[in-house]
Amino acid sequence: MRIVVFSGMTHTGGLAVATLREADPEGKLIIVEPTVEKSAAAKKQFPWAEVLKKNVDEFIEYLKETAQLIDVFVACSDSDAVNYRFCKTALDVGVPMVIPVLNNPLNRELFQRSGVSIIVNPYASIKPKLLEALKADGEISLYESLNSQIVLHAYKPTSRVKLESPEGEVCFLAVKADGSTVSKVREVDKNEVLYVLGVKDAVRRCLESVRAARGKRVSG
Amino acid sequence: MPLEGVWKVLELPVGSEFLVRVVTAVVVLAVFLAAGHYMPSWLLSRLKHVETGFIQKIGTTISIFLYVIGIVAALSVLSLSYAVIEIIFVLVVIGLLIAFRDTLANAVGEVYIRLRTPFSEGEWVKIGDLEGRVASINTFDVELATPHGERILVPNSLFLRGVFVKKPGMAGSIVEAYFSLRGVTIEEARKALKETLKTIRPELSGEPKLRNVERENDYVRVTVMLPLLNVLKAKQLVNRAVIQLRRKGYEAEAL
Repeated sequence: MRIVVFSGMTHTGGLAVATLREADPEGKLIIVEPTVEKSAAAKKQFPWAEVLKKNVDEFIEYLKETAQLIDVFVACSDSDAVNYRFCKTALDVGVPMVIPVLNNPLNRELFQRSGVSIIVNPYASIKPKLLEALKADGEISLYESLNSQIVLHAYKPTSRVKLESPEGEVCFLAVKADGSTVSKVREVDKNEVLYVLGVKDAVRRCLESVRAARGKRVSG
Repeated sequence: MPLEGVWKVLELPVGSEFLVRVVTAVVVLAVFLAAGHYMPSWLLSRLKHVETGFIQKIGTTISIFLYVIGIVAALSVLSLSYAVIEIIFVLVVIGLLIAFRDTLANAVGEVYIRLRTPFSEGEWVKIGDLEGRVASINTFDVELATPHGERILVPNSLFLRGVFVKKPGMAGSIVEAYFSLRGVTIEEARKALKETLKTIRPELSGEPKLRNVERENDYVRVTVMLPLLNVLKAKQLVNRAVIQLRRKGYEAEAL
């Protein structure tokens, strides 16, 4: 694939370039930097990539001229406004896959409204990680797949909860207090964590039934 | 009556009071219909920075408002009985329904798209020969951004009538390309194509495959599967492959 990245030599840009290389090692990766210094640094850091020096306006023209060859465009400059301008142009000229990396998570909706369907939010892991580490009980949303179909939730009960057999679209995995894992779970107790992986709606229904079962006395 | 007075001042033949009223009503209606037809575009022509769909909405609203005012004014000039006005109203409504059937179908199409949400902005759709990313969903049309950079307005009613395909993007298309090499054996052709395809591999989204290699008289015809994300570059890649083959001394052509 021909992947074009406007990196801006940001931390997210560097990480994105390395990941894109991993995703398609045989592909053509073009890194665009706005200044001579940054393009020189990118050439040293990523010797296997083609590095171009183009300012914002030059890059907009470049996108328009080469849109028919570009498969993926990734915008990870340190300005959401600049990224937005690039993404809008890339969408308008028909680049099949346009991916912005957010600097401010609040701008997600702005990109979504403009028609960008894949948005990378580097801050998305803060909330689930902190909640998983610190929240004593309740439900924690850990992961949602790209198409929002598959989700992974954690559930920390306050007391012993008996679980109904999961639907075919849901998998249970429990981590016991001693660190051991159990796959065929029938009940979870306090200090244990239940992980629920499955189709979004099925997981939601499943967790509703778990919440409803909470407080019911379990024999034994 | 003032209308008759005007008639007499102009020295025009006066058949009856009703005739005067009918003529006046027709003139009033014609003026408002003309205003409703031409005025919105004239008024809104300066708003070039506003979204096209929104301009259309405003224009249609002004037109309908002027048409209604014209009809009411014409009826008031006629001073008809209530029953006659009702009959005329029904006929006008039927007329409007027939005249604006496409517009209404498009508006209903928007309701379908908004409520059923078969696709949303940013998604890739194909309806008939048209294909593109949904740029905006408007009252009467859906704006598609095509892979060629064009903007196409597809009437909403088409999505009610026709079958459309929703795609995750242009992703995942496999393009078949045909090459013909002259004066070589099947094995030579296979080897040459494999080597050439290596040079265009960085532009592909996966490994290219030789699907079929067969001999036809003095030619060897090779069918190649090219996995592409951006299908628009297929032709360019095929041409590049042909140039590579010719540089190696093969008499190659893309079919």
